[in-house]
Amino acid sequence: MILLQNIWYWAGNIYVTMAIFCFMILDLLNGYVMLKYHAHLFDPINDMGFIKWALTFGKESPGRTAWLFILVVCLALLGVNTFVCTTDRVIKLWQNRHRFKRISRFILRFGPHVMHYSMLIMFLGYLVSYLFSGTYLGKVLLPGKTIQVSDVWITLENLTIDYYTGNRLVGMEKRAIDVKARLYLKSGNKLKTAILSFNKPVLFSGLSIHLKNFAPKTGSSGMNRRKYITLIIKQDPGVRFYFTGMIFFTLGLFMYSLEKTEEIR
Amino acid sequence: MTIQLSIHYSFLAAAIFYMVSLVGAAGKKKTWAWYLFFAGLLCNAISLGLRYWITFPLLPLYQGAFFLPFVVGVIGIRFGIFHSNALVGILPGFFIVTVLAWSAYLFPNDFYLPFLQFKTLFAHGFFLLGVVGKSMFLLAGVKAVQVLFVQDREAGQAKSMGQIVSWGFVFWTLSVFAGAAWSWLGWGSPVIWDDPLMATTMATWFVYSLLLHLHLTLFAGQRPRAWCILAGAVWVFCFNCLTELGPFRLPGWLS
Repeated sequence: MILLQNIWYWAGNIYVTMAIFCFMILDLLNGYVMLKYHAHLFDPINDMGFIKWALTFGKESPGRTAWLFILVVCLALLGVNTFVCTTDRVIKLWQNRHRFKRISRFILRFGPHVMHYSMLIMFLGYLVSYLFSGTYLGKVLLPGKTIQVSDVWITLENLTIDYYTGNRLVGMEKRAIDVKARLYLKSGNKLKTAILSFNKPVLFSGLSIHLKNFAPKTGSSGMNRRKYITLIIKQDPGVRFYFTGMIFFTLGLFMYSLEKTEEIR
Repeated sequence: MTIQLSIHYSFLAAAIFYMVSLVGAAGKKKTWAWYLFFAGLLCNAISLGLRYWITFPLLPLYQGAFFLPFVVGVIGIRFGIFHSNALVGILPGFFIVTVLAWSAYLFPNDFYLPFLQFKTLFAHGFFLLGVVGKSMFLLAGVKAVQVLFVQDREAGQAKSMGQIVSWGFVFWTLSVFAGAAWSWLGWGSPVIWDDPLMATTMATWFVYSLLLHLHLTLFAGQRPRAWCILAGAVWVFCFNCLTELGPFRLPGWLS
């Protein structure tokens, strides 16, 4: 029992937190150098997922990729440390709830803990993402054509490209300013028609479909160039975790700021 | 005069005003220093407005360095960075704005056509919140200098130093979140693994997470915290400001 208590104490110790932070900062500095000079080694993570990348690129150049594995280990340690430390403090705060004269003051005290737990949800999101996400690459669609991804059929019904005709935006004359692709999606009995654009992905049957590229980029006359789009199609169950974490972290930030503002008053 | 030349010369004027205001402050001509500094802010604001005018709704790519001196100046006024009775208290504020302006002017990044993925509020949020966060970290460093080296320490300096760091952290975090949301909307992943700036952005977040936890340790005193915050500002300058600059370019009117 004493051993367990000791482990719990050290797992949540603030100096352990500091040590992990320092180690991560140095590790990320190394990561900066590696990403700057060997970006080609890390670029495939987005497409392959972490596990496949670790078994190929990661294994092939351990000297250049070790920082990322160290970072993952540090994040895991930070996750454990954060959980233990925050849980300890939440328990103490709850036990001392009678000391607060105002309920709002008591609730605002949870701000930092909301942030810490939200961070854990985000870490969970990244873990789920790197373990279970899938990417479908090189998906090119021409108007009227259909492709199949997993059990989803995607048809590009129509592609509209607006070209900039003004002269305010420097360097953009006659270049595409807006792209709208109308997709028809089918999976079993489920049907959907949706407009795909840059930064406006289409969500359907567990997939997120993002516009990666398109042609023609300029509206100058000449050859009747062929229209097409390329897609990034992702199946990422982690995304809802890390965006939930981000929303709650932001809430915690505002609770914390509000508490500090009240303290100053 | 084309709009690009107006952008260029209004920023040059801002950089000159900032430098002369620094000289004025060093020469204890505080009133003149203030007038010149405000003139610098005005020119800088015109330059930034025009930069946004020629790109909006797209994002002015690699232009953060030009926004930094203006935001540092404006927020610095709000937090009383330029108010001190001692010369060593007032100079760092003018100095940092001048250095930022001239480094942006002499080391400009390349001009790229903006991508259509930039046409979202998240991209602008990532950019602008990041500039504000970075400015606050630098200003906290200036405040730390005042806490450490001004003999007749004005009341509340240390407290406002902590406040600036906290708000800087809030803006930096929101910038990171906006960047992650933008990255997911545009490319389907909240982290883009081929950008080295991603590593320094994360590292800075951890640096300030560490600083915000210092009060729980033996380094909770005013002076150790001030030293750490000063170190944080140096970190931000080296890894978040210098990394956004381009190579040295002799201005056209000099060559």
